[in-house]
Amino acid sequence: MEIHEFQHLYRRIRSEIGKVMVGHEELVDLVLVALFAGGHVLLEGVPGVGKTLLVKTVARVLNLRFSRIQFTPDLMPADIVGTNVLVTDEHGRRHFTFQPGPVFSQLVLADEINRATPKTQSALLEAMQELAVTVSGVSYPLERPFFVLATQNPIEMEGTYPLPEAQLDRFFFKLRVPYPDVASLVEILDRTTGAFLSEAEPVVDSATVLAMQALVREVAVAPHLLGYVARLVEATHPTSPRSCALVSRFVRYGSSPRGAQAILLGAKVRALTAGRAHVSAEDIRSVVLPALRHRILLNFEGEAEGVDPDRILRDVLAHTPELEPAESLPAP
Amino acid sequence: MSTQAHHALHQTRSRMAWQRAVRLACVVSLGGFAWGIALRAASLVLPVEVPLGWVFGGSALAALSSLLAGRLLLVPSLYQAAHLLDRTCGLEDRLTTALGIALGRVRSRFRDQVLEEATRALLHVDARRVVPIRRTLDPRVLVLAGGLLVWDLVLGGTTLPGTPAHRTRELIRAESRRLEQRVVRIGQSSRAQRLLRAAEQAERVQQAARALRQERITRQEAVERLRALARQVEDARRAAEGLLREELGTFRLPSRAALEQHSLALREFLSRWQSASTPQERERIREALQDLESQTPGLPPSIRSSLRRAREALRRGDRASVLQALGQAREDLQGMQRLASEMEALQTLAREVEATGQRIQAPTENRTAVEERDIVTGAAPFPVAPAGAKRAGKKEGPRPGDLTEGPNEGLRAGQGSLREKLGEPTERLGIELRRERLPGIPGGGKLTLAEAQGAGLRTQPQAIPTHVPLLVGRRSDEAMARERIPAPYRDLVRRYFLELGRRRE
Repeated sequence: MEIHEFQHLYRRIRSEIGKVMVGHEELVDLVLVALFAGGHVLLEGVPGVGKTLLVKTVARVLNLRFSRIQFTPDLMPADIVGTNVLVTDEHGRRHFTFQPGPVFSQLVLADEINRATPKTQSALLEAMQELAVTVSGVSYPLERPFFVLATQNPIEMEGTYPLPEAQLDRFFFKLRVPYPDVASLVEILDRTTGAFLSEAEPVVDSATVLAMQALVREVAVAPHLLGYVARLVEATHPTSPRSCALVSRFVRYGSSPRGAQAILLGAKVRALTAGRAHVSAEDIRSVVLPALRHRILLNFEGEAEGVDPDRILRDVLAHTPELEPAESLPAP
Repeated sequence: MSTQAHHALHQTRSRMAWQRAVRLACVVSLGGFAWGIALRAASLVLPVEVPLGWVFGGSALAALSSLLAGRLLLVPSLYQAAHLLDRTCGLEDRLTTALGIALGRVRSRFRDQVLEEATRALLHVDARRVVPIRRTLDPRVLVLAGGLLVWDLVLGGTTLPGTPAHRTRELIRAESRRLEQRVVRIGQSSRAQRLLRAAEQAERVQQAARALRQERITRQEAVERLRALARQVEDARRAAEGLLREELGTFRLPSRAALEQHSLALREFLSRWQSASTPQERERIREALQDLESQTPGLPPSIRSSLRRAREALRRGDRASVLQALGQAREDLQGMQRLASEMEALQTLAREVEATGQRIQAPTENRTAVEERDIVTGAAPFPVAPAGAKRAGKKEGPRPGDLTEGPNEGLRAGQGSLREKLGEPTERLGIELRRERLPGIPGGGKLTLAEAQGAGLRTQPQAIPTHVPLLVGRRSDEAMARERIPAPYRDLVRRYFLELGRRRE
């Protein structure tokens, strides 16, 4: 696959999704960036803003097998990954057969993931990171490409189980689904309450998606940009000499190296969508917030004052130089 | 990347180095000018004196050094140059990526594509536009330099009352005023005696003193000016001395008193010759001329020659030649006398200027409280003694002619200097001054003076009685009418010369 093909397909995918999704252009872009980078997305937004619709539409356009898991407090891990069931064959012999759960799909919608218990939530961990599920000592690989798009409601916190840091870290991006503006709302009303409902058509298949994912890895990155990403992530740590005032004051733990990986891969996808074979600093900056906002842990003061991690990250961006004054390229 | 692309990259790097150097030079000169303004601000209170030329010269020198050092030391890497081009030309990190690929630091399937794009982009890069050196010049440098100039024009020399700087300023003014007053007298005297060089120099010094008094000037500048002025006056004195030496040849420079004596004698000979009617009288004149020529060791050669000619003419009975020779001798002597007077006046002038400079230069802490008060009130201070002399010396009683001053003495009642009122005491007549001083307030108090007259100082006579002409009495009357002899002394002088005349007879 070549860059122009990637760009062309991406535009078509965007266009098809746009037939169903009204507004949320940046959100759609970032979801696609995460998918082509091979990451999972945590969508956060109030009910009814189109989270589930977005995921369904993406699955249809990418022509991926889609499954939806509605997380509830009584949901068990086996309900997600599947279980061994006792089966009687035609000879009357009984044996255990693995019954795959809904996670055995290509695009999994984990709806209201924070309503399930941590035990159940952790069932997704292996699937998300290893792209495999182990039941009764037997590992079952998941079909590629595999994406988890989880949603959570930031308002109704009663009876919920906030995702542990380890699990949050598995998400490539955390995206906020904003409430649509008036113009978008009018468009939504027009499209959804009429007799004709527009539908998105599949644009690519699994193989194409995998090829697109492979192309992302080929994008070149200038040495100083690698350093820039590393400095950005380091600057989120309150003990780092590069940390800014807000980080020092409100952050308990900064981002993990996964955050840096997410930034760089996201930037590579951004570069490809712009038709470039190399990453620019702007590509990096455009994905810092979704890649790191769920990876920094606020301290008590930050929590008490309700500090938005985005504010801290903007401060980090503002204070981290793209190129260190004395930075140079050492001879190979 | 192609050679052209590399050239463009290197050119950008070179211009970046210049840009950094210019920026450094701007920072350095900014610092210099800021320091200059800080010194100017400090000069409102403290006697801090840094001439404007030093500030500008120092800043320029430091800026130039920084420029050269910056160009040599602040050379960016090629990577930094590429990064700058990426940012300023909107190349979206294309060049840095390409450079990384070219140096083997970045591996990508799209290697060739990135390199080609970068090369293409570099061919259209104009390093002069991307790295403008002229625009790097910080306008604040001009603002600060302008501020410094405006400060000097508007506030230069301004001091806050009661501060050390103000006291220094007042000292300069007081000393300048004092110098001006003294020089006015020297100038008047020189003009009266037709001492053109001395009068001209006095006029110059007077103008300089007035300028010192009126201008806002630092202590250092004032001292420098006075030094230059003293040198100028000294040069004029040397010129006069040179002329005199030219006249004298290898002969030693006679004293002014000796020249006066010779002149007086010649005048007498002329007068006697004109009134001589008998051969005996002429013979006596001839003998006197011979005596004068042979017995006066310091007689200049031109005069001696004229006298010889006069004597020979006298022997021949050539009246016209005698008159001509004597007249010539007299003219020569008058010229020498004028030059000697001129030298003396110029020396006095130079000494005054130098003394004023020394007084201004003397550190404030070496002055006594009384002197400081005199400075502030405008009274002239004592003549400058070597630093520490006053402190180290014992209490010295007033010597004759040493007019010590008290507080609140001055030019007006209760203020000012006695010397300013009376002038320097003459050397030839002992003057005893009795002062009754009332401590007054500046501009207010009262000062009464009484001067006791005394006989001339008992010293060796400077004129040989035999040379004193017979008609000196009449001449002295005429001279006394013409010269500036204080009225109370006129009778004394006249009696002195009459007595000399009687002895001669």
